[in-house]
Amino acid sequence: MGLLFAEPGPAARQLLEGDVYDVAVIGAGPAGAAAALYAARSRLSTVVLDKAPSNGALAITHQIANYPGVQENLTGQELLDRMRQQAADFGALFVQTSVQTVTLDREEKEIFTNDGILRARSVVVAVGARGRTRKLPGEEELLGRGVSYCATCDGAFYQDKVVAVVGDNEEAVQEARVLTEFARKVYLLVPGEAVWGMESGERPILPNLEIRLLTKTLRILGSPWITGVEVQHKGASPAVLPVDGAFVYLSGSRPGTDFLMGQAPLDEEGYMLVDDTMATAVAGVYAAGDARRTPIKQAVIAAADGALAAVAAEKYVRGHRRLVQQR
Amino acid sequence: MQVTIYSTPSCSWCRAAKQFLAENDIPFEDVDVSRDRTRAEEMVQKSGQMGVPVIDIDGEIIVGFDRPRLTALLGLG
Repeated sequence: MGLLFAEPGPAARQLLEGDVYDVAVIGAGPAGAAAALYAARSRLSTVVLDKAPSNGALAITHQIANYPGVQENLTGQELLDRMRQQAADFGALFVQTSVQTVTLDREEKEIFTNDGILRARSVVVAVGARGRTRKLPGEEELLGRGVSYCATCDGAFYQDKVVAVVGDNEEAVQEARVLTEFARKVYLLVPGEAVWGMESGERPILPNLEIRLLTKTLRILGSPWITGVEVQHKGASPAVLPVDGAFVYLSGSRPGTDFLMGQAPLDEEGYMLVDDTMATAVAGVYAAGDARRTPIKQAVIAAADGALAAVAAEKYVRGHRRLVQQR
Repeated sequence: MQVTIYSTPSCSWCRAAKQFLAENDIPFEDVDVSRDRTRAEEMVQKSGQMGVPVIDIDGEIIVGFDRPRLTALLGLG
């Protein structure tokens, strides 16, 4: 992932809580990176947020076979790094943080992240479709009684406790890091053989963090409060890991649009509804890439969407600026 | 009307909820449960869970920043 992204914490906060940006792009996949490129090249102040920059659909693609102009051996992540760098060269800023919720029904839209509140005149939602499709058994029943999705919010309740973080992306790692400041012991339960966004062998070294690779979380146990998680290491029998909390950050194939909380129209599967310019029904809010129902889920389509969204956002921001000046 | 919000400083849902209350001119008591263990336990007692924010409006408990329910209970609709 390199040093392009401001890391969660003070560096992120400083960028987020500064000026009002012209364009905030949520998601740094091909749609978000292309939107940022077009917006920044049009001299709009542009910031791109991503909670897990190495875990999108393109980032996890092993080899690019059909992206126009790319004939050499290139991974999805390498193509993405190029797109992001190109946008950054025109001045777009990149921040690694999670968006919790937004307020869109005003001129200065607000994006509430784990690292501060960002204000922007326009928003491009390019969150992709890697949101969760199904919950673990016990997860819903134990929400708030041991199950949480926000370590920065609820971490204080787990002081000196034992917690499990379930997931294999940068968001899971970041939340595990946050929890190590409170909990006595943190298990990071990774279903696969690696954590996305980390070179093999590279691990956050913290005395109270234990990373368990190839470990599937089968269910969350307890009633009415959590008592443990049932896990299964590859090739072994299921076993119970006693914990006081479980923070779940798994990926799926749903558009990651839940954070909009009904503030922009979605279809029945959570895809954002847009017109031909990528505009949603909310003034100054656009969607691009897999967050809307595209005819085919391909990087080239997402990138094209991002370009359209940025052009529409530019028109909106500049038109609005003129209106303000005339007042 | 007595409004109390149980929150933590780093929780952006909490900040969104507090901003919502402030924008609607609703005075409220803000309890930082990351600093006050006793009040944190009070929150768990009241809400039966430990996710923030929790908003207490005259004894009615709202877990999370539930905008529609908040609007209804505060009579803002």
